[in-house]
Amino acid sequence: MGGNFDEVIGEYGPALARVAASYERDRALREELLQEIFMAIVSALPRLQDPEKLKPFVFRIAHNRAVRHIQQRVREPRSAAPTEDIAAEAPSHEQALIASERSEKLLEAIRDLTLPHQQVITLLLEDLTYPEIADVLGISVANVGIRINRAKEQLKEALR
Amino acid sequence: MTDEFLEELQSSWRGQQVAFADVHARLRRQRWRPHLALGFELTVTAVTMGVGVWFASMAVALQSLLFAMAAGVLLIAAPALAVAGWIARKDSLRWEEETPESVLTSGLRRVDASLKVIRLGRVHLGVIAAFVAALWLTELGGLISARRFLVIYTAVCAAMTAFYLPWLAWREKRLNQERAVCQRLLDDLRN
Repeated sequence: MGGNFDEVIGEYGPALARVAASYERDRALREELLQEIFMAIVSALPRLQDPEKLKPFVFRIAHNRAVRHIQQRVREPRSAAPTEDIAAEAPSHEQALIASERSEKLLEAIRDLTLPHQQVITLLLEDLTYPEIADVLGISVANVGIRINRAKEQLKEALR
Repeated sequence: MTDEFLEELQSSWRGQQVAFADVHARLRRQRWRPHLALGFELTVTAVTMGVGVWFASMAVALQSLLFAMAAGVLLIAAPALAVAGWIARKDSLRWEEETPESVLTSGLRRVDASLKVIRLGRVHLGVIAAFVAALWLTELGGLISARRFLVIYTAVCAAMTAFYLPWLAWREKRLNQERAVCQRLLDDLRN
């Protein structure tokens, strides 16, 4: 299982880190959330019956754990930390900085969406198909379509 | 059909600088911990049952009711607690089977259960206060004579209450906030 887990993290680690970032601004809390997601995947991986469904399986765990995280976040005193310094993590090239700013703007806009819209758009941006998104969130494919259209409208408005 | 807006979003989304290697490495280092915790739990259960068996043998040898009762408690409690722990772990949230809505619904249930426990905690404090008052009444009425004990007992109860009541209020406030967040997210999902 160990190797299996490492392969999964190797493949989905960056995507899971992006999911965590879409839910959590604070860097320390984000790392904590990411670790919780990884741990939840470790414990659930042996129960995966159909390897073909690994992608929705991993994202379902990530989003469910993230929802639990934002629900419980009130227990921790919120830091008044400003928007995360993603740019500081990037290589110090000007282009990378501009790209980081654009990414950060998008991330902020996604964080401001309501939960259902935030979830569908992040899953769509990770290349999940409508049926896969429906599977992850436990909703109908038609509902996925409606939510995605609304989310895109709101993002267009926010990023204008 | 291409969606330029979506492609642009995707490019910005993928352009994020993500750092997950540290978390992955930390997790790899800590992966032995659950096994260690399980080993510790099994060891404690085995030792407790060993002591229980020893108490039982002492009870037989000394014909002691006290040893027999202690042995009974240990021999029943140790495996019962181990099984309860195992069931609790087994029944803990199975993230891959949940949906965001069911995560929030069960979160709401958990918060409500905790709020009930807090209310029960206040009732317990009331019961203790009534008990202390009854003891003082019987003392003052001359039915018992244990004034020094009562002073110490009352002081201990008062100190415990002085710590416990504010803690209950703090915890209740947090839980109510958590409940509100849960309810708001659920409403978002359902609308």
